[in-house]
Formats: sequence, structure tokens, C-alpha cells
Amino acid sequence: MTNTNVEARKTENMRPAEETRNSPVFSPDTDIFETQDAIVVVADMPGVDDKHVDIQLENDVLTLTGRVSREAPKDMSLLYRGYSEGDYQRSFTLSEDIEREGIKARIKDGVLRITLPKARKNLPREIPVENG
Amino acid sequence: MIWQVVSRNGIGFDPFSELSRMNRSMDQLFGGYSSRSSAFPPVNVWGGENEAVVTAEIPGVDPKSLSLSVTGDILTIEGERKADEIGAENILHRCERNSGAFSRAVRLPYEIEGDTVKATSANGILRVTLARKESSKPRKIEVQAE
Repeated sequence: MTNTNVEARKTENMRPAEETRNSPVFSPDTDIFETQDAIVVVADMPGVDDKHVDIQLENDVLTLTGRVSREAPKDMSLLYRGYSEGDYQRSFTLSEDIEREGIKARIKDGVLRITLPKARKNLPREIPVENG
Repeated sequence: MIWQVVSRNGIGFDPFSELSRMNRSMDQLFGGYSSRSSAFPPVNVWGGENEAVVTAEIPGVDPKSLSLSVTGDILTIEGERKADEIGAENILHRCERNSGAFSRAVRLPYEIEGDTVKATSANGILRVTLARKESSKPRKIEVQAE
């Protein structure tokens, strides 16, 4: 039925507290990379738009939450299920100090991208060595 | 023959086929919670009397890069997921998102009228609406009383 070289999977969250909404909560697949002056978090959240995404930074824990609006086609029955619909949530502990005012986030085509600028004091600085 | 243990009813016992059978039943047991299918993009297929809908999760795929085609009762979705350009001077801490070209063929419940396929894409979800071919619709046959 398929041929592909890209793999897809969804991991359901094991959560200590139960959800009030009766739907699974998935852990979004995430890339994290660090540039010289920022940490960039990129998370796949298909079905989430800019109004249903929430980003919290509490102490050094970054939590991403995305709510999916579900629309089942009318008068149709599901014949094949390749994925389940549900919300997304995932937390990361940041090891760097972050400049909170400078955090930027945008979501496009179901991909959330957060740029967390590093605090000034953590930026690499060149220390001149005197000859003497 | 070390692996050929004959069971009580006389049929050979093969531990390798036993293992793969166990593996299959474990997959069925946990299939609902983790990965159902490893093919990209994952699709759901909905069917009505005269229309079918295919939805697919395609986060990060530019809708313009998608190409859809219908032949008979097969819908093919092709496209490419572009990877982020991460410069050599940057450090990659975590890499879970996949990228690359993909192609997936989906069998529909009936033959499709190729001219009336509608496709929309929003927030990384592709939705394709396909109309049933007139000739594939069931025909009611009146039984004449004699």
C-alpha cells in the first residue's frame, strides 16, 4: 500500500495527571538546536493553529501545548485509521538562562518554532590577553 | 536438528516462527497507543455513499510542493519535507523530525471521478475530497413480478 523513505510515528504521553478532555495527548516530535545566541525548538503539531497553541516558561521548564480542532467528515464512516487525533504537550528543561522578553514563536503548516535568546551574560565573549 | 522440537500433536515447533507470531500479537495489543504505521504521511480514509475523504498529517510540508494523482481507486500523494538548515557552527541537541521526499498510495473504497478531486491544506493537515465514479455506483435492479 505504501512506499516511502520518511518515517512517521506518534508517541502518546504517559502523564501523571489525567486529562479532562477525553482524547489522547501526544508528545510532538521535536528538533532542538543551539545557535550562538539562541536556542531554537521546532515541534511538529499537525492540526494546531496559532490560536490553539500555548507556550509557558516557568523557572527553567518550557512547556508546549497544542489543541487540535477535530472535524470528522459528515455522514461518512472511518474506513482506515493511520493516525489518531489528539492534543500535544511536551516539556523541556532548559539548561541555559533565557532572555525572557526576547522569546519569539510562530506556527506554520503545523510546525511550531520557538526562538529562545540566551541571556546576555551567557553569550560567549572574547577575553583579550595582554602581553606583559 | 536442534530447533526442531516435536510437540505433542506431532507438528514441528519452530521457535523463530513462534517469536514472530508473538511479536505480531504484541503489535496488535499495543498498536492503538503507539505507532500504527510507519509510513509517511499517516492517513485516515473516510467513506460515504458517494464521496470519500482522505486526511493526512503533513507538518512542515509546503502545500505547493505536494502533488496528488488519482488512477482508478488509487490516490497517490507525493511531496517533500524540507529539513531545517542547521549551520555547521550550531549544535544540534535533539533531532526527531524526519525529512525527505515521500510518496504514498492509498486505496479508496471505489473508483474516483478524477476531474472533481478537491484538496485543501491547513495547519499541516491535508484533506482530499473525492467523488465516486458514476459507473461504480451500485445499480438497483427491479425484480419484475410475472
